[in-house]
Amino acid sequence: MAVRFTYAVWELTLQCNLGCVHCGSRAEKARASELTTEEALDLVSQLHEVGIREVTLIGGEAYLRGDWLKVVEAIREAGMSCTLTTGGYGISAAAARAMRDAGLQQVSVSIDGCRETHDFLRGKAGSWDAAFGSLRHLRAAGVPVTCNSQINRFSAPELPLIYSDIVEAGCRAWQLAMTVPMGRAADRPELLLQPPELLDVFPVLNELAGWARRDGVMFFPGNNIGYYGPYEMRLRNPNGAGRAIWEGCQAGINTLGIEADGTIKGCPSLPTAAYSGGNIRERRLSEILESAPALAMNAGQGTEAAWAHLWGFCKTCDYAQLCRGGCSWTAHVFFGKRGNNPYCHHRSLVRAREGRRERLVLETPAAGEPFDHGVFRVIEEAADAAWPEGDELRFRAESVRWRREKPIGAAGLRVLG
Amino acid sequence: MGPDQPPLPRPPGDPEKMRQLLDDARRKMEEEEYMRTMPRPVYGGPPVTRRWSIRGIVMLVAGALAAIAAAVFGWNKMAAPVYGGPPVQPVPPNGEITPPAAVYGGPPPPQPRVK
Repeated sequence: MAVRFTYAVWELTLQCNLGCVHCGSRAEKARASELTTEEALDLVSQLHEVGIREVTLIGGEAYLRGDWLKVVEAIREAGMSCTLTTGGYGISAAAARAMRDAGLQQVSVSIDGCRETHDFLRGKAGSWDAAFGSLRHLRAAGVPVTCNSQINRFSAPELPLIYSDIVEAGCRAWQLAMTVPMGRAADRPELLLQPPELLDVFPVLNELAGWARRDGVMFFPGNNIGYYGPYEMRLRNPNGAGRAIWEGCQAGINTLGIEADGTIKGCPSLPTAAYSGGNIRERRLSEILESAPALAMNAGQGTEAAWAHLWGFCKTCDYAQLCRGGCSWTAHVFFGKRGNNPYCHHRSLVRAREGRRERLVLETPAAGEPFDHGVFRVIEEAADAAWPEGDELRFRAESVRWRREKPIGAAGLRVLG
Repeated sequence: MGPDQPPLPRPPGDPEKMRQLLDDARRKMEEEEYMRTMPRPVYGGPPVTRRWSIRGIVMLVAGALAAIAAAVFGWNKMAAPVYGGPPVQPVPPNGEITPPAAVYGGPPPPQPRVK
């Protein structure tokens, strides 16, 4: 299995042709001052200088920017790998061939459910068919294709069906990430899984990882799926061998995030206001990396400085010093600061053993800006306490559609309209 | 970081401690997994857990002991009828009743023909 050393994820434009209800950046229109072509090409060379080996272009929708293939070519000419993550709305056969010719090495298309669920989550009718049409065109052009999916209360019941669809479409890898309350997802807390529901989600992921191993599909849990539960090694070692486990947030360690206006963060998902290290219009990338505290927040792994920020459950956890609170992005968008992560399988299992459970309740809504978030409160209660009435989307193991014959749940249909 | 070393990736602050943390975490996970009640069943029915295995072994031993006890102490007990009751005993022409056929221990012996 290929090892990823250093990695930059670059939002090339915030312009988008979809309207995803869980979009963390609330992508729609281009930012007011996105990088010019010259600035973008200069950033490519700076990325190479600081040690980046792979660049993934995202958006918005990266290919809506007119000069995006020039950027792809520049990345490849600089000796770095270049991949694209896309909603896949309408990549034509000609566009796919142009991507191949520019040197794009892999495209990951987002698939968030069966047709009606995907179209609902992606905010556009026909987006599921368009995404699979794009996959066909890319494969025909010889571009390796993978898929990525969000895990939330709509998609979780359909994960086995998503898997079947993407394998049939020729995907060689599947990356999964939990939907967390950033951007538009913060406006729809009913979409989000509650921590006790992780107890039912993780066995499903484990089963699907087994399917993927059987089929030769690489199964990649995203950075906010974990941590240290009974399936940790099986989920994090896609080929079934190896002893890889979560080693803590890598933002600024081997990962960079770049916003379309040149803002540099340690990870593309992190909220801009709290984690911006500066802008390449003001300083060179190497200077930002060496001097910006926001990019050095994870430096010093293995020393006390690396876990000094922990609080709440994570501070008391046996894995605290290695885990460092799981995904910083996930923790921050729930509570307004990193270091205490409610989306943790181990944590839910510990609580369950204590006869307790945690529920998250939105206290302060998001402001409505890109990469914004609300603030949630944790309610700790007895594991057998009555579940709040009216929560029709609650996820349970029996909600999972292992076969296509099983219809979508009545609650889901009501919400889908 | 050496003079020719790019800023990324950043090396750990204490590589030795990181190795130790990784080893400790792996060991703890293995211990926890051994002790943990397995999570809820998913596709294909409930997973086979260690608790179930222990229960199975206990049941197996108890069954074996019961079989031995039956073999030792049950030889002179009345055999229970098989499904459908004992075989029908046809009355021979001479009116003599043949002894009942054995049930436990094999099929009944051949019966005389009825004319």
